[in-house]
Amino acid sequence: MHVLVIEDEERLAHNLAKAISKNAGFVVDVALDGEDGLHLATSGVFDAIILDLMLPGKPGQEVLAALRKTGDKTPVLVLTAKEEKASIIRLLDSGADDYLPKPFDLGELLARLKALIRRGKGQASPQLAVGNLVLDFNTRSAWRAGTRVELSPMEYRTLEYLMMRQGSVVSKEELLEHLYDYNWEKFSNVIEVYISTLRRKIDAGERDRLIHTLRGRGYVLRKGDPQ
Amino acid sequence: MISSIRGRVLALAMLAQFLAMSCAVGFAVWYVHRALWSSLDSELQARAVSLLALVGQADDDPYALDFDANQVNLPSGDLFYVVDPHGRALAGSGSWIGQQAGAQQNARKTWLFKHDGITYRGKALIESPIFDQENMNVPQLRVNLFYAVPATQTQARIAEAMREAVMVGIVSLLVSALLTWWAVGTGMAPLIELASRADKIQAARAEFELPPGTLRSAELMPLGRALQALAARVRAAFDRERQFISDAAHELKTAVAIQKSTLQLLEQGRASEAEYRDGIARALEDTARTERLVADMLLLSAIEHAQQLPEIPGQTSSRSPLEQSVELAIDRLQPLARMKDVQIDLKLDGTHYVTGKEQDLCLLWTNLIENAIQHSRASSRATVELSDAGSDCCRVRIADSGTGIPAADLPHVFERFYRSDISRSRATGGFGLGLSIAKAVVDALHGTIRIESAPQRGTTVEVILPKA
Repeated sequence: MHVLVIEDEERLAHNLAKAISKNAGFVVDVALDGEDGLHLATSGVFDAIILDLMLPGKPGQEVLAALRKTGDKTPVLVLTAKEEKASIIRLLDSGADDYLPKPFDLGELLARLKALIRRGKGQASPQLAVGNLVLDFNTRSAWRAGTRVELSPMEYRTLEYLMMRQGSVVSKEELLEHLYDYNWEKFSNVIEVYISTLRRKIDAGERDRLIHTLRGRGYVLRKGDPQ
Repeated sequence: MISSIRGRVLALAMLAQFLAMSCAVGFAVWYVHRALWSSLDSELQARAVSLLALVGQADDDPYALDFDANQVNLPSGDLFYVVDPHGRALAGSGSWIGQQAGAQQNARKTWLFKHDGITYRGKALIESPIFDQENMNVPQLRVNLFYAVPATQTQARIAEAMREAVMVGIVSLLVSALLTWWAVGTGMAPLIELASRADKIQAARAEFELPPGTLRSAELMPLGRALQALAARVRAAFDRERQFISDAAHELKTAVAIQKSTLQLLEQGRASEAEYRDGIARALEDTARTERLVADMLLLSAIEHAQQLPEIPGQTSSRSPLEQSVELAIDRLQPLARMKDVQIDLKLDGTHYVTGKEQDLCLLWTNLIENAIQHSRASSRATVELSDAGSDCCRVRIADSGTGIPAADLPHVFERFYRSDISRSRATGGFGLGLSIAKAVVDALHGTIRIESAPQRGTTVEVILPKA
């Protein structure tokens, strides 16, 4: 998963980025002002956006409005120091998905962020299942037919993304965009490596193969026929 | 003690009314009194003279007088006494004249007296020549005639007229009291409405609409306008404070959020000793930043607050040479200037004295010069120039040739917590309070501060302070 943090306090932004990547295993990009934030947000590669309200350049409220105007559906979690009800209502009404008042608890922020991403991908349960492959979003672990599958962090992230988007064709570019930060191009070859390792760890010895490659189009995770 | 304007106006109006009414009643009574008595007196005179006509020369003695008693036709109740100068009574009775005769005889006046319980008006015709003297060989014969008529009726009429006049006076006094009470009440109504509206002014919603009655009243208009202005000032001050509290809360919450996230990050997962040390160092940095924020906010509040307190001359402020505080500030900032490779030029022009605490002045120059250094490019110069500004002011101009401030931000730079460019203030670690503090100090010193800037060309701040 790829998360954008738009926060002008550099220290806070980096603390957030570190916590998210360390605890949820997500990739994080940071923007320190509203203009940069909006520019990055509209690229459409993010699975969630954390947005501070008081921003130089462009206030958070405007970033949010501009983003929603482009039709972008990325879940947005707003950080605010204003706790007046009216301000919160205005925020949610203008397209925010959730908010946290400052000073917030990192644990709560991570939980809300994960829930937002899950919902954004159309998943309600933190346990994702395809056939007898189960992935636990909270403990970041995978089971195949009741047996724990040991995965490296990068393998897990790749599988997590495919599971979230289960049934849909995911291109290599999409995987790269959502699993790496902005300079993902240099990683373009590693995807094939992770996919083949995943396939070996998950599908080996199983009758139903779940990871399918569609030549020239990408990958799909589903039970049964890839088409 | 509370006294009512209405009551006082009423009392005053009543007093004036009473005096005027008393004069009018007094005059009326006096006039009626005079008219009635004078009419009675003329009646008295006429009757006395008609009686006098009955006195004639005695037929038998040309020197003697005779009274024709047969022709006496007097209204009943009248008293008379006719006597010749030698004291020989000719007619009537002298018993009623009593002692008064002596006193009144020569006065040719009328007088009042009581006889048998009835008040009379008396008149004396002393040594009156008789009309009917046929024999001119004897000297003019004279007679003394006393006459009196009952005065009861006249007295009663005077008393009645007096009663009526006083009645009319009292009634008109009452009517005018009511009218005054009503008029003052009506006149005061807009004032009372104004007061009740003024009473509703609250800091949070200091809306004040002038009641229509006030707009029509020339006397209440200034008060209404003053109240309106007061309400506007209260509202503005309250809005400013609320904005400040909201901004301060935002800054503090952010500062706490940073500290909290740094510590929570350390708490999550297992960290090595080096990571812990690093984390603690960062948490301390965050704490120092929060401390600086709180100190700046308190400083600003203290200066802004002090500006509203009366200054005791010689105790809080003193006459101090401007150069001294400027040089002190430059001295303190030299390490920063060297670090940023900025040269500070000080241009002096004589000695200038201003009134102010040295530490306030030093704070002011430090803030402004630090800004100049922070926004200067490496190996550039910043100038601090002291000069006269007219005969009673002096000017301090601090100029840099640095990044400048965008025109759109210029009007806001003195606002608290305003940061025109985040990357700039992040680099300098500012909270957007430096220029607010500078302005508060200048305001407290009764000076002015002005800022000019062109992006990429530099910024000039000009402070003008009154000379001591």
